[in-house]
Amino acid sequence: MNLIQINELVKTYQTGHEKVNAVDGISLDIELGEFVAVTGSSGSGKSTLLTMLGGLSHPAEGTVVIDEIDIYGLSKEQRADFRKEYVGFVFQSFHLLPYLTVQENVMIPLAISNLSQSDKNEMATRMLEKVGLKGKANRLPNELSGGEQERVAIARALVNEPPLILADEPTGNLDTATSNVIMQLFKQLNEEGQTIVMVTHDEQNLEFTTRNIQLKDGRLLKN
Amino acid sequence: MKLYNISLNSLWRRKARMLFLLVGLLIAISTVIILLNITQTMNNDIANKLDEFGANILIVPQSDELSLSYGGMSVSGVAFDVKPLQESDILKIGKIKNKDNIKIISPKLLNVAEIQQKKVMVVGVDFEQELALKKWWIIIGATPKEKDEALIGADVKKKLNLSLGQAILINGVPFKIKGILEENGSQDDQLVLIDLGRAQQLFNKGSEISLIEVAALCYDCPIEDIVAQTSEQLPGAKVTAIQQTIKTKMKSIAQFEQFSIGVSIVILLVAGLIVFTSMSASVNERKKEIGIFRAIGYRQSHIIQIILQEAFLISSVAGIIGYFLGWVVSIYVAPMIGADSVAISININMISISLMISIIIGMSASLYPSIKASRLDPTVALQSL
Repeated sequence: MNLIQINELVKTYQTGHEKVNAVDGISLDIELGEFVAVTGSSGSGKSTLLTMLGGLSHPAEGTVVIDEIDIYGLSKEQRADFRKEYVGFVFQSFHLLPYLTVQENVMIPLAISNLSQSDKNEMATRMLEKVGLKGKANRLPNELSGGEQERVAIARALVNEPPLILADEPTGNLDTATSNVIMQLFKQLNEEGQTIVMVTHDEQNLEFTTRNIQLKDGRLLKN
Repeated sequence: MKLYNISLNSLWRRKARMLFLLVGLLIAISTVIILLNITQTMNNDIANKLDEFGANILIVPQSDELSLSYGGMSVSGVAFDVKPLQESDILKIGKIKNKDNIKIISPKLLNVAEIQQKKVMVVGVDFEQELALKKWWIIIGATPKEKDEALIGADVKKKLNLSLGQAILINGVPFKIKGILEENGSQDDQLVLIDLGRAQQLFNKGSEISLIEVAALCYDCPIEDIVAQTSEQLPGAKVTAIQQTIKTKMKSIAQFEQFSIGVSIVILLVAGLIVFTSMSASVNERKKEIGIFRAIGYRQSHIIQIILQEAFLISSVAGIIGYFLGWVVSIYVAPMIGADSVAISININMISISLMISIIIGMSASLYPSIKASRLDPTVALQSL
């Protein structure tokens, strides 16, 4: 079953007087339960594609349909609601809030939901357990190692149980050993049925994914 | 966890960042409180010291004649062509609507008598009331207690060459000089004061009174109201308000009040600007954070809510601490400007005013920065994504 349908997607950036197509007419489908790696040299448009998949950046042309919702047919605020329900982001530089504890960081997506406090706590605790950080719930992010911070970011992306995880260079700031641990975690999540789209330039990560999409100059090179 | 937990933690765990904002608001609010407190204290102080300003209402019988002078009282006219006031009129004054504002009622009977072949004005007074009214009198000797004791003015002493303890004859009746008024340049220097009842007896006036001086302690209600109410009670009398120093003093307080309001507005505007610039800078600093919130699915309204909650928390704290800071400073400043008769107490109304002003300024100055923050493009905000 298709979770994502991308159709003739174009994103244009204006640099000086020149228009550059960062994404230049990409069409592809991603099925539920896939673990997709998007690779390509820097400037190939892979991160731009990811932001458009996540409903953060409006394409110049084309459509992104996720779970039969044309997300760029929605208003900005509806798209925010969509992200809340459907997408969990994992960023390269973790993007944890330094003034919130690990537990609170994981609960950020829940702060705008109407769940009870005890449900929220339980969900966050469950996610921290899943990523192996159960004992560090009350630490602040700067007390954690890079790998641990990345795991907090993953727990935060997962806590709402969104159908889609979008990860942008999740191992980009980690050493090889830690990268392997994180990729193992992603693989495990994927095996439990989680759909993941991951931008990476690390060839080693491809052994964990189920599919590799390669971009060059905004176009599909390999699918 | 709710959005306010995010705001609270953001403030609590990054205290230094908001310190400038807090201090700015705090100084502004406490300055305004100091000005408010001092104006109020000056007003209260004046109300407390009202009796130092003497009588402000004069009641005399209706008369068509132009007066000689004792505060507008026609001495010669009293006996002949007008219906004099009676002692019972004093009770009537006590029945007016604003009776609580009336502090002193001092009746007087004026007569001309002969002492050592010289004509002197002899005034029958209720000494207790009269002395309460004339706080500035300095008496050498003592206040008359007995019916046959007299208090004489400095000029009377000089011209008749009298001295303390000496006996005088007023219309042939003996009186003992118990006290002498120190010269004060007013008409009082020319008077001989004796007990009212004794004077009525001496001059065969029954229970007549020539005039009544009234001190109404009503610094902020129109004295005209009290005059009108008294006139109603005493149809046969002419009731006049006396212009006096208190009006000048009150006018200068009113001017200070206006000045305070002006200064307060300027200070609060500056405080608003401080909040605005700090909040704008803070939003710039937090672009990435806002990008995270947006990526996670926070609506624009959620972003505005987080920032306004922070503004609310800071300005509430500034409002309360600012009040107490202002209160403490006022206690030290008020006596320096002469308002020393009133203790400045903690006032719940003032706390609410302080809190409200602070919150209104903090929130309104943060509104634009928060809206700007909510409209940030999440991809730009996140940069690295």
